[in-house]
Amino acid sequence: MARHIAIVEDEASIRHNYEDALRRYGYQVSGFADRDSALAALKRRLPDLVIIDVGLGDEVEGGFDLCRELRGLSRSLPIIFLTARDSDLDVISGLRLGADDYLTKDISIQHLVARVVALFRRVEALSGGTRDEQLLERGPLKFSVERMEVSWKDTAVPLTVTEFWILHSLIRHPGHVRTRAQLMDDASVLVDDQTITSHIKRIRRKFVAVDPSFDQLDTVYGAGYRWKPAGSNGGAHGAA
Amino acid sequence: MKLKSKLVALSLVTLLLPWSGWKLLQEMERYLREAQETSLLASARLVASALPLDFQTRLSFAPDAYVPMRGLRHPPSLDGYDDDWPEAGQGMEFRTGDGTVSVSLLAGRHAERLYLLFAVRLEMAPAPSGRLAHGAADQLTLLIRNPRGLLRYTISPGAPGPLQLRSETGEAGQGEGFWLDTPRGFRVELSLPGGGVDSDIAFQVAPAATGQTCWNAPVAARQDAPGLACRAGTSEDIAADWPARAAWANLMPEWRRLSSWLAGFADASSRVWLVDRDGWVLADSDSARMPDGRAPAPQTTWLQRWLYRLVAGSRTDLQDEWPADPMRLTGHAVEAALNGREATSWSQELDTAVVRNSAGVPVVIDGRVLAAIVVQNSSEGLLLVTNRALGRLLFTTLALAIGLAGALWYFASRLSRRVRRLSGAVSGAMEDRVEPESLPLRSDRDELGELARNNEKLLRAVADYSQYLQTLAGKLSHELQTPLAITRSSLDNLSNQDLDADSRRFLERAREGVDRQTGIVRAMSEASRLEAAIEAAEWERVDLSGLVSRSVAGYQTLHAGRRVSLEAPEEAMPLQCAPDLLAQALDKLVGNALSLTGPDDEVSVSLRRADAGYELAVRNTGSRLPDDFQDRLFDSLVSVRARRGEEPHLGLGLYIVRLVVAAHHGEVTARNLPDGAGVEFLIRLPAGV
Repeated sequence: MARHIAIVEDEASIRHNYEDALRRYGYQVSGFADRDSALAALKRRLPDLVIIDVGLGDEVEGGFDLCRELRGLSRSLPIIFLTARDSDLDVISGLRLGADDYLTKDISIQHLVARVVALFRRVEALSGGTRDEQLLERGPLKFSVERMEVSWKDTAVPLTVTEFWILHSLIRHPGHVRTRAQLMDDASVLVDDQTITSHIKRIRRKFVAVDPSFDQLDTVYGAGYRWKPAGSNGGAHGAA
Repeated sequence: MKLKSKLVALSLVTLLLPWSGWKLLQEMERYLREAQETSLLASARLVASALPLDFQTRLSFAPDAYVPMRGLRHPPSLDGYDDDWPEAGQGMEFRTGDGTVSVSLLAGRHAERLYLLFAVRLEMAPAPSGRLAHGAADQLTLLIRNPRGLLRYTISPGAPGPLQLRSETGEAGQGEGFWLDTPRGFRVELSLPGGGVDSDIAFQVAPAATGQTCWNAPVAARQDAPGLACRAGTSEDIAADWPARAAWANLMPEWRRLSSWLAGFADASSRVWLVDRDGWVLADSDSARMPDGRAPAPQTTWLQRWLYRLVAGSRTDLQDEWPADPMRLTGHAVEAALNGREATSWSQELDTAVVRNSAGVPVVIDGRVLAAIVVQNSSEGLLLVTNRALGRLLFTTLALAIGLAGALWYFASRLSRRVRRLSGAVSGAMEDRVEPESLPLRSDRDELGELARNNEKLLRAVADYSQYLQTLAGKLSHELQTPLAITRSSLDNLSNQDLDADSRRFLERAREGVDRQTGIVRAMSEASRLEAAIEAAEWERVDLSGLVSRSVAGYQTLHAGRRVSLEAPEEAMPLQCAPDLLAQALDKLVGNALSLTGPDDEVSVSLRRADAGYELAVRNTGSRLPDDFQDRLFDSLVSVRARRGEEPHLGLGLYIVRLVVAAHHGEVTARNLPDGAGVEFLIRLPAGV
């Protein structure tokens, strides 16, 4: 049975385009123009994934409210935010709203689909059997590409999909500097340097929340960022 | 011309006030003078017409030759000098026709004695001493004839000095005298008995140097001076016929009754004389007055005299001090009167402020001018009055003018200072150094206050407008993102359709256009994103030197083909800052420099300690800033690139630098290096942040 995706977007043209695209990829899609109709329909039957525009009609942050209400219905429902405003990113990224990922509206449909696929894959990995698991270990860091799970000192670090891919790009070659452009490519996001900087900051914050002594993510001014090779952190495992 | 200078120039106009006062004074002075001249002339005319008949007769029958004899208040000391005579230097002059010998005779009486002073003067080269006969000496022979008899004195001393005289004619005539040799002649001062009443005199001088003997000649016709006749030979040679041929000159005493009569016409400040045809004083109203009857001349300051001469100078002659008792009157008024015309004249003494106004009126008897009445007014009164008025007027108007000029100057400088303050504050506000709310003079009630308030409004409007412009890009980008998303997703969907080759080509073109639009929209919102980022930036204390050197190392790695050099001291430079933002600003400057120049040009980064902070400079060779652009360089959406690259460039880089530096309370400037050496961007960061 095809997975069911709900799109809540007040702009009809965008909604229809996204619906058409996702259907083409074989998903069952239902679109909603406002919060009330979406909530009414989704209460009856929860979809497998929800894409929500932050601004819904007159409600500038209606998407946030809807997200909160859906989270009340289901804790595990994957939610992707669509946003035109950069300032929203901070609100979402704190994950206080429990969103799983967010995309800016200038993303291409291919990227959108890729994110959707990645999110479904993570849900699948969490819920079901593990296949040939590709596990990266960098000292206390355990990085599961298949499950899209990251843990530091055996404590899970809740990263969004974007953050996950940025971190993935960094730890593949510890000690090597990755420029912002490279990080953008690897994370399949088309944003500016500033956004990459804030992503890195948020990743750092999430790790520090788990371990206050975290110091592995290094800024190389003028160039980019790098994952410090283990050792300076006192990790017992050493680099894999 | 500055406002202040204009107002000060204007204040000079107030100097017209004392000037016009000056003119008025001069007019008044002239008017007063004319009035006084008229009244003086009138009184002179009155005196002349009222002259008693017996004096008129006496004038008509006055002797042709006479020597005025004045009553002396003190006996002169017999020393040969005339400076103790009241009429010093005014003796009656006897002169030869060629002027070689002249004799000046002064006569006076005191206590029944007659005083005579002969001053003999030779106007010729002294004779060679060889021709001078041995024993020859200067000689003076004097005859005095009066009703009691004849006195004859022959004076020829062996040496200068005191003399004892005895009349050769045997009458009682004991007298003394003094002989004084002078460089050009000699002087003899005599004191003789009898007082000279009703006397005639005749004299003979024989200066040894001339070899001649001279005597006072009879007066043939009226001349300027009584004559002196000379003949070669000694006194003895001509003595035989001399007394017979002698021209007797009458010793004419002052007409005291007439003086008393004249005194009736004079007052404290005026004086009346009767002078004869030569100007010799016959009667003087003052001689009937008590010796101390005249007030001393007032003492005036040089300033008053100078001021007075400024006012009246052109109409007043300067004159030496007037003798107390003149023997002979001179001057324009006297001469004119003796020529039959009425006239007035003015004179001022050099050292006192006394101004004398003289009026002369001829005394005509039987159609002949026989004498003149001269009335003189010492116009101290008028002078003092004008002086005081002058002084007061001048002082008042000058003080007023100066006060007015000072007040104008104060007002002008205050006005100009206020205008300068306002203009400085406005230009400061235009450069964002001053808040419009803190403009000076806003609470003033005059036009400047209004100007300040209007300026404040204007500045606020401008600030609002530039705020609007600055946020416009961000707002616009939000609005543009939704339609862009529609286009992009539609194109994406379209590309999944079965399309022929042509359609696919058009699709690619449309997608390319959308990509570029997306880039533009992103650039437009970058600034507002950056502002948000600056607010959220993490501030920490880092070593600026390390930050810069790590960054430059990064550029060297990233741009391996380019020359990027670093010049920074080894020492640590601690700075409380947002290192991410600073590194980003440096990124922008270096990136800017690299992209604007060719592969051969060099980019150098230098860091040094400055006064109260640090100076971070990025220099590059091979480019140049346009001259008219430098102050707008750091504004948003301004691009100075000569050629446009593939990527849309909206000049936000330098704006970001400015925002970052401003967040650190520093400043950034750009300038062309001298001699076309390139461009320098300089960031100054205060260390105390």
